[in-house]
Amino acid sequence: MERINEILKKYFEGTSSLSEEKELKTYFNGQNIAEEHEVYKAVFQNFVSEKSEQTPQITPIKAIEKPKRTFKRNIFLTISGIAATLLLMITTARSQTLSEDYVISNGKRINNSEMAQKLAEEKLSKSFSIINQSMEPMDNLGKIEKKLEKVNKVSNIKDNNKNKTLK
Amino acid sequence: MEVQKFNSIFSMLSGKLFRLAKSMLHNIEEAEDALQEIQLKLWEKRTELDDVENIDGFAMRSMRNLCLDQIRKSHETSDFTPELESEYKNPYQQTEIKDMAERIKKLIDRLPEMQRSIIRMRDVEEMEIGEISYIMEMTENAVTVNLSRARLKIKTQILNELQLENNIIWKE
Repeated sequence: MERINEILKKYFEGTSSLSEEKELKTYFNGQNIAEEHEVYKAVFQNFVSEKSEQTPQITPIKAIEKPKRTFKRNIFLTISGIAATLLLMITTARSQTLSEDYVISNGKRINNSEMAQKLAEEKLSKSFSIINQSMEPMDNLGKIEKKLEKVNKVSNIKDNNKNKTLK
Repeated sequence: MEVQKFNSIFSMLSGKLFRLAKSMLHNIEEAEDALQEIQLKLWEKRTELDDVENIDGFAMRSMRNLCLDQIRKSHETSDFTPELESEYKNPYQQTEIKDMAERIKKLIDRLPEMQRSIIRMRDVEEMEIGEISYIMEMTENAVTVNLSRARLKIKTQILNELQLENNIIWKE
């Protein structure tokens, strides 16, 4: 009895150990409870009953299973694998041929790189001479402009002389 | 962490986690939802769980934080739970509460959230003070003080009720 009172005192102070509290639970869930302790019986019985309450069923997390390979699936995977490889080979071969240097001149394809370079140089020199020819009228324009400046100066001098005589 | 190991750990913890959620949220359906939510959250953190020393404590702490978030969202401030005395009903009003254990449960439910969680972790789940202090994110001393207060409130309330009952019987 004294032992229970001692543990109860510690219990309400919050200083009892887990093993002492288990002693109390065993005592209050048993048959030989002293009359003075009857008042606490329900408290300790409640703790035990709360723990035994049912908990809801939990759906376990499912692992992502790998799909099983059937015979049909195996054939399908092999054929699609071969098809994919062939497609890859064709596209790489095609891109290789397309990446070669060539020139189209007068509708003809020239694959020889030296020939292509000569042709390109010829075309470039021709285009430069065309540009130079087209720039010639511009030079003439400059000469005309200079001559006009001289004429303007003469006319200005004449005007100034007129004004002086009038004054 | 592998799926099988995770499932076995979670099934062992589910009772504890569910009771904590039920105690905090006061609603069985919401507690069930919280249990499912915490299962998914922990599964998402499965790689971290391998490095966690105390998985029980980690899971309980996560559940408490989840419930606190839910309480905040529903604008329920548990700290303003009325004091036990103010909600006292005389024995005639309590006729619907037949079972004495059920009455104790109601008394605990009326404690402030912090004391309610601590008393249940200790007296129902039988957790060490150190473990409770980790889950509650407070010092061991603060846990002991709150535990003592909660237990004394229950004791005072029971004694008051008994005194009232005896007075009524004596008057009759």
